[in-house]
Amino acid sequence: MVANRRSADIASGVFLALLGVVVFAASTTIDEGAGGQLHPRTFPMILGAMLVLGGGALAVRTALSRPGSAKAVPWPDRNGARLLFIALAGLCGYVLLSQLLGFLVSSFLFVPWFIRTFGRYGHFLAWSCAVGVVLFLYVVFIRLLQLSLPTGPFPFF
Amino acid sequence: MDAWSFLLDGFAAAIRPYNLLFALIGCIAGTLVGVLPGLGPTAAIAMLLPLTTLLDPAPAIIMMAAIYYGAMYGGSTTSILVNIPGEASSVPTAMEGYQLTLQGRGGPALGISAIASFVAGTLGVLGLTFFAPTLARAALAFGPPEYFALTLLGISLVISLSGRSIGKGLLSALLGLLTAMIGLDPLSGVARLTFGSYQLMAGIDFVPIIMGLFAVSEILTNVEAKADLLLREKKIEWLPSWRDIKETWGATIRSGFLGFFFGLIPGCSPAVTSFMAYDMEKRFSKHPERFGKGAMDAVAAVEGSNNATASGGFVPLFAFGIPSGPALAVLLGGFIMFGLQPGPRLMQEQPQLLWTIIASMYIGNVILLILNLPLVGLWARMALVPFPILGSMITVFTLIGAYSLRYSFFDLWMALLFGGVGYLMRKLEFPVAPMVLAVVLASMMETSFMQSITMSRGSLVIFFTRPISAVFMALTLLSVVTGILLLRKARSKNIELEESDA
Repeated sequence: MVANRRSADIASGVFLALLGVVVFAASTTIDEGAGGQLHPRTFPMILGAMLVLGGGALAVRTALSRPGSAKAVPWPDRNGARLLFIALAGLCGYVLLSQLLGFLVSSFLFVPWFIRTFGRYGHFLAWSCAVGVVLFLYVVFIRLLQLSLPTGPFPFF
Repeated sequence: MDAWSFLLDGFAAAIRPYNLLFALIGCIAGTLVGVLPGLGPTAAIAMLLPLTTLLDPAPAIIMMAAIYYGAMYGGSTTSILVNIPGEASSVPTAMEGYQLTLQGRGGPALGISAIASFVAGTLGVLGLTFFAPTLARAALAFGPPEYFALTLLGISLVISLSGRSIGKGLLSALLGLLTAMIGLDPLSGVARLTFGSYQLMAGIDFVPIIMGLFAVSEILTNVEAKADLLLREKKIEWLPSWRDIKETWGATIRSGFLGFFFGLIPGCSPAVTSFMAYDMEKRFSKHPERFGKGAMDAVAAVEGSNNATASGGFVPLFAFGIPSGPALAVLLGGFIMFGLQPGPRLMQEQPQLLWTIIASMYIGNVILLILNLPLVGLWARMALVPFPILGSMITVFTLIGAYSLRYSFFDLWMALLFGGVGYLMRKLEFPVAPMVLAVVLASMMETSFMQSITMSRGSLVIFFTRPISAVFMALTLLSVVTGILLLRKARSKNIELEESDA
């Protein structure tokens, strides 16, 4: 549907206009603040309206323009889309795992997974990188900069 | 005694081994927090503040000040090499510097960044030395209408940052303004666009937004492309040539002046001046078509303005005790912790201390240059690390950087969300920089507008009746008109002022 620049611009214009409608509608529910010349909803409402107008203008102007030979949007091929999906799932998994196991353990698992999934590297290199990253995190972030990173079920870190 | 005598006395104290040691520690720590994404000088100074109680006031404040301006030096490294701007002020550096890295010119870009930081930073300290009290009084003339007019001038830069499509640039800026509206109203404290989420009440910080738009989307793009190396060119340069230095000299000096003068204004952070310097250089440049594709003069201008702004911020702090940003507010806390209140009285009662700190800034800039230049080749080799290895590390450090800002996992989810937004914006050719600029300016813009309207009892005339505000309004108009003309001229010459891939 959005294979070329023309259809992509129409779709993104419509999406932004709809987003503007949602923002405008949500702004009407904003409570009144204490005093002041302007209501707290003023700016969000104006921005919502501008988004409707701007998004609408982009969609309409593109729709009215001559189709011609529109440039293709560089979407990934099937394999690229598969890798993209795996990467997104991996990133979400890393964040979830960090909440459960803390950053040190989750990073220790994430780094070799990433290296081996997106590159053709052996176990030794992947796990060596994991050890290096975890050591760096521990020495610099936890010891040197004294950041309180979540440690999960391993409080001795 | 005149400024020269005070300064010489300051140097005599600053070069004592004890003070030099803490200037060096501050410079190293500053460079480190600058390099690590998300960790800014504010957090670093705040973390080290309790430890400084063991020291005398002079070395303690020398070290904290060095962390602040040292972080400005370090901030360019990840922006240039891996497209991760750890702070909003490094966004324009990432836009140009990363393109240079892809062309095998990451080393020269890092070198130029260090040299521009040194030159403009020293210019800023010179301004601080000789004009502090006079300039600080001018900075105090800024009220809400002036701030609003200034932010409007900042927003007008969207035209210059929009590349070929002003329409998409404006829509990107609108998205940024809208993102910044989420949370509590700055004046009344009423929740806006939070949809009942208590986590959204604290708003969305701009660091996870930047991390997502730049770093996460970069990772997604490289994963999808099955990239093995970030470099597009086989030929790699490690250090800047004399030609690079010669070509960027003017940009460095101009941005030094711009950064210093805007740095005098409390609240005008390096994030604002870096975009201004970028825009100014695009207008001055003999090759505006290079902007967005790897312009060395843009890197020099942005990094120069960052450091000069950092120096300029010390003027209102020393002269009146007014911090011009969060990092300097923590530094002010450091002064107070030692029983010192920066301002006119401190200048009279403790001149030795103040001039020692000022002298240490000259020394600190030299230390930073000596520290950073030899590391350029080493850092630049980072681009030779295969993407699967580098990407995993970028992910870990980026997300931990986003977390460490507010110790919130919600910020990590926001970084991922904006990573998706950034990926789509790249594919659909929406420029990212206007969105970042709008996020940075939105809060100050709205607050100052509300305050101005309250001051004038609802009249907009206030923005045109006060001289400084009126000048900024005129400059905004000029910026918009010349921006459009520049774009038309470029189009007629068939020059593509394309936004970078970032």
